[in-house]
Amino acid sequence: MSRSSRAVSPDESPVNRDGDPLSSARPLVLEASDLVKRHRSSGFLRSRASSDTPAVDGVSLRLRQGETLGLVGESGCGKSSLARLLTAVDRPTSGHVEVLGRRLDQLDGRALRAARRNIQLVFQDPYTCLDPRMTVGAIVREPLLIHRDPAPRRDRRRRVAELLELVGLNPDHADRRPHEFSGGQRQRIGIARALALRPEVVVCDEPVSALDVSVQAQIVNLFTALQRELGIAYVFISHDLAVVEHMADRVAVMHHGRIVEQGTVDEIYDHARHPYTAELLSSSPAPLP
Amino acid sequence: MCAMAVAPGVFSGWFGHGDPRECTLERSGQGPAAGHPFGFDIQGCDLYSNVVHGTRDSLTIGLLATGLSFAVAVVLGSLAGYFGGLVDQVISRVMDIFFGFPLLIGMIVVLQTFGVHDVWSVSVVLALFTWPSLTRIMRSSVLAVRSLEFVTAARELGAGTLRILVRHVIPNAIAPVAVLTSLSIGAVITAEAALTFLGVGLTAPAMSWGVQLNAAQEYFTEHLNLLVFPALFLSVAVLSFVLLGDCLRDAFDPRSR
Ligand SMILES: Nc1ncnc2c1ncn2[C@@H]1O[C@H](COP(=O)(O)OP(=O)(O)O)[C@@H](O)[C@H]1O
Ligand SMILES: [Mg+2]
Repeated sequence: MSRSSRAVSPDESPVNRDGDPLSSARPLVLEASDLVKRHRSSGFLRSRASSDTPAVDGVSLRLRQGETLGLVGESGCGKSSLARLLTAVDRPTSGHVEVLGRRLDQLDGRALRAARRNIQLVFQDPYTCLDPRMTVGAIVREPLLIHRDPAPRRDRRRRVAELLELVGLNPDHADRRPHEFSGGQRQRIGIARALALRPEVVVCDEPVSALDVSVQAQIVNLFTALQRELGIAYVFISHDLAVVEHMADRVAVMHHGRIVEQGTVDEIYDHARHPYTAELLSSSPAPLP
Repeated sequence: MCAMAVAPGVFSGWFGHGDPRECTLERSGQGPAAGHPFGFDIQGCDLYSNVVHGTRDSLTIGLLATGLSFAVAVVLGSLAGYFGGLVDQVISRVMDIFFGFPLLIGMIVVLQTFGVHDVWSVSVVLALFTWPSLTRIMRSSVLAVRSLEFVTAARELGAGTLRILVRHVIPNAIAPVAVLTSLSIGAVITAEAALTFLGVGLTAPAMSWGVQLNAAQEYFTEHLNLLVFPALFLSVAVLSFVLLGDCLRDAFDPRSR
């Protein structure tokens, strides 16, 4: 994959990736400031390490419409914890999250439900992220039932078919159950569910790392195609640097709960300044051909 | 078995002498005779039709008691497992109290305080001592399901707590407790028989297998049939509920549909 083909965003100039005046013409869709998450440990399993170092330790990031921010870091550095904070699945110990200018981290009940529509999560494990007892149609329909307005009752069927088609699945398979699908197809179902509410931001937590290499490329291509079509912004989490290099406009490097370096793909991959980034780059296999 | 519980008259009529209350004292304790395959009990009543009619009370108690405790277990187990915290603390401590109690003695004590010993009161008492073990199973499977990603996904989509519990958590967590419940129907029927045998369960005009075994206890050395036939039915019933439990286990696997 050459560098130029990476540019999914319509912006032509590479400087636009960097949050400089030119690209700031695009609205900010996600902003996190000083996020800290300390997991409450309980009982005799309490370990000193987990109570002393937070899983997420003062992370700030910004994301503009239609942009992809790659988030890389070794396993256990707090990537999933951060994803759960951004999508308001967990509450931060301190700091705040704004989606489309609305704070998510303090809302409750109905207000939270309405606000988090604009930010959705795609999970790592295609096997546990779908309810095994529901049909694929029911899984993709559920967001439309929770939020009544995006599709009135009579349009829901059509919308579900539309979504399945959008992610490359046969709408006729809507009454099958998840176990009848392969890992890659299940991941597509999860993506269709995440897109049902037409979110501005999708946080993808290692969405391809559980898949076969051949399937990985298909799913990555699906993500880029969806972005081109729908103008979604991604926070794309991965420990695979090659995938991030292909997907992202900007990259943030996470280490022990902190973002140690952030910049355009070129800046990070070719001119890493932080020693940890250099280490990460040198230890990863060659980029995708 | 179920058919026997619903319409005992049909089965008890098979051998010609269907009425369980038609007794002649002179035939007291006699062995099998023509039209009376199991012989007669101590009152001279046809034992076969008694045993068949006993199916109804025994099964009713078994189903009623386990049904009640199943309902309680699903609700309390879900609440304790899903919410954790104080709710879990309270429910778990109450269960601990029951676990600390010797089961049979507990049931005897509680039954003694009841004025009437009919199907309902016996069922309630049996349920009272069955729900804790079922609830504990439900709680732990809810704990396991709660942390699966599709529950997080539902939460992320904005689903309310009730929807998450009813649509996602309970359907995926209910299989173990449902299987255990059907297995405990047999245990409850046995427990009813034991209680009645000890004289604190159902009493004479009722016709459970326990009542018959209770009546048999003084005479079974001379009249073995009084003991054997109700016990045989009891064992078959328990066994069939164990098999039902096995079938349920298979039926609950979404892959098998
Ligand atoms: N629910 C939790 N309770 C306690 N500790 C947790 C929890 N989730 C994650 N952690 C801890 O937080 C750290 C970061 O985990 P995670 O965010 O899953 O990392 P990553 O996704 O980068 O592999 C790990 O040390 C992990 O043990
Ligand atoms: Mg992770």
